[in-house]
Amino acid sequence: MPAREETYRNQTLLHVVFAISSIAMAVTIVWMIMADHLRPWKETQRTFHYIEDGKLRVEEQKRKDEINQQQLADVQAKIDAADKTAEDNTKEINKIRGELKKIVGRYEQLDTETRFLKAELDSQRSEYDLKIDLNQNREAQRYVADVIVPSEKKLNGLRIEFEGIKKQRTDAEKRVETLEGNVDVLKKERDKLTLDMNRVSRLLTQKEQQYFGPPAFLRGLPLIDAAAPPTKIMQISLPELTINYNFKDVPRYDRCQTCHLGIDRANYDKDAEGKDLPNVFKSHPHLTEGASTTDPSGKRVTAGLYLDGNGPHKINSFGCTICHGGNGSGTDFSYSSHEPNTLHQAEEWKDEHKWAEMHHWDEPMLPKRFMESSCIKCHHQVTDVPQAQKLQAGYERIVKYGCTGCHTIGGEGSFGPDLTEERQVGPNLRHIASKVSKEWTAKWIKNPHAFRPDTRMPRFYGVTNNAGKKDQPKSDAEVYAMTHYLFAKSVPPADFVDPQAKGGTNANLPPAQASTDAAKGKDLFFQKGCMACHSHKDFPPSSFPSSVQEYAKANHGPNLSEMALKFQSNAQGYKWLVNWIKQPEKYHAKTLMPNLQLSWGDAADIASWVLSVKGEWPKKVELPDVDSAEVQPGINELVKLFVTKGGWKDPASGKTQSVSLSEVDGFVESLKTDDKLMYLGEKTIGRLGCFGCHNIAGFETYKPIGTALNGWGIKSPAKLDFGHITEYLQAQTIAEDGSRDGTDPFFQEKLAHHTRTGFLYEKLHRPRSYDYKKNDDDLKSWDDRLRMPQFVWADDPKAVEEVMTFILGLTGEKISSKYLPSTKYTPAQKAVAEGAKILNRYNCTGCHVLSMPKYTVAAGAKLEESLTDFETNVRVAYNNRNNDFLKELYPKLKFDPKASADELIKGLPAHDGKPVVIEAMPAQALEDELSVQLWQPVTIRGFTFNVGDTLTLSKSKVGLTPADGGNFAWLFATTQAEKTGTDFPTFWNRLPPPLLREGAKVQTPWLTSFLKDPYMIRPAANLRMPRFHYGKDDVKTPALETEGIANYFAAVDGKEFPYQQIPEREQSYLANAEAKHPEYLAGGWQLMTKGACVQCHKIGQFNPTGGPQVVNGPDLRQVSTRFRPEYLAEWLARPNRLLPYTAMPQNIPPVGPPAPGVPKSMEGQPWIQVKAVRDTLLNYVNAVEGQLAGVAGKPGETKPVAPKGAGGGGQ
Amino acid sequence: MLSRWTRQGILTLGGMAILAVAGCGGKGTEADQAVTVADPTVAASGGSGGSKASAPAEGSKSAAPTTAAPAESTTAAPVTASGWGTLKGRVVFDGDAAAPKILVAKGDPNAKDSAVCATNEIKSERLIVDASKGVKNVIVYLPKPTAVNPEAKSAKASATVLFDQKKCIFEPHVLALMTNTKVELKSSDSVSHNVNSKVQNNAFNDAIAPLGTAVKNPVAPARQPGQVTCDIHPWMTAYWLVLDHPYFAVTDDKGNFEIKNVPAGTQKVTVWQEATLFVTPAAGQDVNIAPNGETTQDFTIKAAQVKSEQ
Repeated sequence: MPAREETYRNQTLLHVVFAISSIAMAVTIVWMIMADHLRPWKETQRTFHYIEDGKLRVEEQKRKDEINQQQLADVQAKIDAADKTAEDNTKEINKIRGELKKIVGRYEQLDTETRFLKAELDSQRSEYDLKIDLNQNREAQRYVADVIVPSEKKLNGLRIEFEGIKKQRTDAEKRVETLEGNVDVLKKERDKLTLDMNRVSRLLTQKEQQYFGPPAFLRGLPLIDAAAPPTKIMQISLPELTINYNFKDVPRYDRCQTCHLGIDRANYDKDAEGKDLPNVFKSHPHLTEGASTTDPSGKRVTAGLYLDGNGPHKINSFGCTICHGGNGSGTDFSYSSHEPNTLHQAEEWKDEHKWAEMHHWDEPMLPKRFMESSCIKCHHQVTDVPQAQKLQAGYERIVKYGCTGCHTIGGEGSFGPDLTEERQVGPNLRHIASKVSKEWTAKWIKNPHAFRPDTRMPRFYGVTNNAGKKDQPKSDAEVYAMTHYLFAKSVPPADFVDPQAKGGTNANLPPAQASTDAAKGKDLFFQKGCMACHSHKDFPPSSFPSSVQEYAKANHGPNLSEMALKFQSNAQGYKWLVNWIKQPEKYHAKTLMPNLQLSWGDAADIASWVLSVKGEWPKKVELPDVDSAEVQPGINELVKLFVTKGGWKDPASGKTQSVSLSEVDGFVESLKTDDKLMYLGEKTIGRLGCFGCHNIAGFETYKPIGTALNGWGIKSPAKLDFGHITEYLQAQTIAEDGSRDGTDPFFQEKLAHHTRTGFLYEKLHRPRSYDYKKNDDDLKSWDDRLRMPQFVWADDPKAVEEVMTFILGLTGEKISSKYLPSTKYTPAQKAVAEGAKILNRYNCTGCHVLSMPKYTVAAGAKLEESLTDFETNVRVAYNNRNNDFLKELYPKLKFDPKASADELIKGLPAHDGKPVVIEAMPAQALEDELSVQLWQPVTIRGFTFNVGDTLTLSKSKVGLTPADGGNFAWLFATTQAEKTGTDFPTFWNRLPPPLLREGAKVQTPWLTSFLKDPYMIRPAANLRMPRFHYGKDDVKTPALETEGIANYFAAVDGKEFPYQQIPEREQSYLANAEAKHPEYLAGGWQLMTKGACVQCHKIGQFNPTGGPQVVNGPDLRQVSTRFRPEYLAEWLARPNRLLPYTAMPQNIPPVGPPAPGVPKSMEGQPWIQVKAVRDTLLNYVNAVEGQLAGVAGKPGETKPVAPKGAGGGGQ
Repeated sequence: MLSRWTRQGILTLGGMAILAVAGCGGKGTEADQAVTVADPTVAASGGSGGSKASAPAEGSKSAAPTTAAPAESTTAAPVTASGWGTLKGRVVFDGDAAAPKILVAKGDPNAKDSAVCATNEIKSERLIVDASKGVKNVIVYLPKPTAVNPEAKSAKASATVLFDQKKCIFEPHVLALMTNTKVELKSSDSVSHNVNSKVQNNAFNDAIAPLGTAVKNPVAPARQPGQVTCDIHPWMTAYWLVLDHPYFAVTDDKGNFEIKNVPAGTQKVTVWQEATLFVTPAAGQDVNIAPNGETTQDFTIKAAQVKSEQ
């Protein structure tokens, strides 16, 4: 067939199609290229480069401004002058240069010649050696004379010539330099001045080439940017911080810095114009401070807490998402799983970044409010990150409210914090019948918050899934059943004793109630420190001075206001209370209530007072009678339900029997009410898990009923049952702020999206609301309903979020041990973290101060406005050194007895503007002026104030951080001071001592044993150190806790633990001392017994005089095992430099006439006297033995002289 | 955040309020400064030349009879004048003072160092009111005199003060003194004592050996009186006030006091008693001192002002 012009398709049409598709393709390609070019992260980077450019320019200008222009101009002028000189001298310079050329030629020639000749001489010398070796002595000598000597001569000649030419060269060069005006030196000087600016300039040039200069602009054009663009993805690869991608651990890649470009650079808060930078570019907090590290020379220096390469969280080994969560690989705003902190922020993000909740990334970023959660991924001890305050609060709340009673946290095989050592938080219920009335118990179970609005016991009834009218009979039936069970199983506590009959005077038994003094009891309640843990309506905070009202709200133990209402009768209540106050461990072996070491009389007075305050239910609790028609049907219905499900268990015999379905109704009708209650009570206690917090007979082997919380922090929301939560919320009335039933819109949104945080919030806030529309027995039988109770803080979002912060951190991620701080901690760091938990458990800070109030002068503040009388303070402090300075004790303090304070003050440098922190106890106040006594040395304007020195502050100008701990002590001292008008620190002598420096003070083994068996140290104290019931149980040795506390204090003070050497007790030490000072220990003994010590302290056979009301110091027998030698020496020498308020005077003055009893060999040597007394005390037994021998040998010699007359001597 | 300021909160507030009110008076502070005698020689001649022009009329005119209400004293415009006058008066008790507590009974064997300390009965000196209601041991002083008479200053500064410990009592019980005055701490007892001073800017705690002595030299003034105790014998207390000028007096058995060579014009006068603390506001009460004459100003301590003993 001949070819035809005709085509299969219409060519014109094809052209059109081709043209259109070409255009479409071209457009698509352009679109593609542009879409790539305009990806949000690239845009972000461009913006950043622009900002960086601006900032660098400002920085360059700033550095330029910092340059001393005068100096620079001077140098530049000199350079110019030099240049001019050089120009003037060109001719001469050229001439010298010409000469120099020749000289250099000759110089180099000579240099070469010398070298050659030297080499030749070396070879000649070895030739000579060879000849000697071959025994050709004669030839050798000839060789020396003929060859070597002439060579040496020649070399010498050359050397002399070389030196000459060398000098010529240097001279010529110098001349040139001078003629040129020494321009090189000047240029170096100029560079030094502009060093900082040049550095910035160089950086700017470099960055310009890379990011924002014209070449960078070209490289960044669309399409061209495929090759070497200025924008690129920044990524940190973290092979050891893996992510679990369903059964496979894969390395983590964090690309966050692609956009967060300023995150690891300091000062990225403001742009070049001083405006706030957008959040995305801002610096991370704590980049340059917050942590410390050791520099190469071994010095401790500050480091950034985060991202700093020297700090603990280096950016390149930690990345971002391990702490923040989110999808690190994502470079898109939404896909990286950002999480807004508030609804407002969410709205902003939706507008700006088209943000949407990512439902399928299991680790969404932590909103700011839960940021601290991640700390416990690695910091398993929790208490080792005290800076994370919300997390700490959550941890403390969880421990305090006994969450671990039902929910396991930690334990065998888990990875994360371990809370399995926590003890049951509720009281022992095995002896309940000896304590409270049945009626009270039932009402209490029904609604504990009605009786005590701040109790730890949560509500199980009247909550969303059983508050309905229909559920009342069943609720009440359970309440009665549990009460019945507990009382039926109760046995009297074995060691409770009956009060004596009226008139009984046995001090070892409780007095009769009739002979107690309730008014005195009320005083004792305050004096003996009950308010360190408890509060009471008769001591309302408003009755205390305003500065300490916070301390009258203690809630470590229950509020005791309505106590009287709990008992069956007054007499029964009295017996229980007096026994409990005196010996709580007899009722509950491991109670947190310590044994206060009170007398029976005091315990009885307090009990009597507590009972005398009429109690009432702040809120009424309606509970129909057990036999009423409102309760009985509930009992029957529930017994039937349980019998149907699991058969009947006879309470008497304990035998179980199955009952066929058709017989259940009849069987249950035939049972006695008591049996039904007993049966139902056991079922209910088992169902609600009461045994998690209480010790209940019959439930010894039961396991906790709650979900284990290990790994809950990354539990997939798909595994959480949200029930009809949205419907529940919709059914609630909406409040003004948009919240429904207390759930604010933020968490409503979180719940609507079925997120983990939403679920957790509602679980803590309205634990039973997930049963909404399922309460009906047809859908969920009574015993299948949710059981999580509602705590008293459920309506306090702050408290709920604290707990959430902790739980969200329980991810159970197995993190490489390289990242775990515990593998790097020193024993001291571990001891501090462990000890903090124990201190918290026993509420040590309820009585003891751990750190004094801190008064702060802010950075940049005017010093004279805050420290109103600084010069007087310096003068007084310096002057006091006349009276107590010992160079051996205070090597760091300045003191020259000849120099006057005025000269010193004149010479003090100006305040450097750095913040000043003054840790001190307030002493006196008048108007705005407050004088404080230092508890830690502080250096201001170059002058170091010692402990005990006074500073005068302006109350309104200084900042104040309250003391850590000592709540009761502050409360008592301040109240008494206000009442009597006496100085406030005066009262501290009778109060629990502050524990600052405790670790430096006592030997660790002593503290350990003292805590186990606290004896009376200071007879003058108002209250005794109580005996706590350490250890979760006696199997886990209680010693762990006492040791833990002792180690904690030593570790805090940086002292050795758990054992320490006392070299002062070693024979060699003593022999040495005796050699220098004959009768060393005897001298120390004499100093004490003839000096003032015996006036107040018992020493050996010497007793201080006076009856029981006299204030005396501790028996000195205990000193040797108690004190550390360094502390003891300072204490003996200058007691108020360690404990500013102490009554102990300074007994060994540095100057002045010798104190009585100073042995001749120690006269005028105060430091030796101090050491002699110290070593005598540390070798107390030795010293006493020496004295006994001495007394036997020379009677009468060691008789103390001080107190004359009857009361004076020893006995 | 809880601030923990110590006692005297109320007093402080009160004091500040007064100051504030006084400050609002506008001319108050200016006037205070205006009175200051810059040239000591002028002041000296004025003081000596003024001699004893008795002016009872002026005295009665200038002084309110008893504790003047703060409002009254502050609304009156401060009077400026030159010259020096004498301030005298009496501190009386309004109400019935409780009988002083017996601190140590005579011959009590349970007392500390009873051989020395219980030879006599020791009574509390917290509040001593005589039959005519005069209060002993009250400190009357000028917290901030507008000028200082050099004669008066040198007279007080050159004094040496003895602070004795005799039969386990501090003698004197209340001591007011000027800076740089030598204080001899002496023990006349054959037992050890300690002198524990909590006086602002003059704190120390020295052991005093039997029959021993020590010398103190206060270098800086205190804003208010402070307590001195012996911790060995806890009933032993005393109060010191250290000032950097000579305008102070301690009342005698009958409650009388006299301060000489006070700068004339309106002065703040503060009255302090140990059981009451500040009788007037801590910053003082306005008293107009007549030049070259005597100004009488009495003060009253009300029974309700006295603090609880325990």
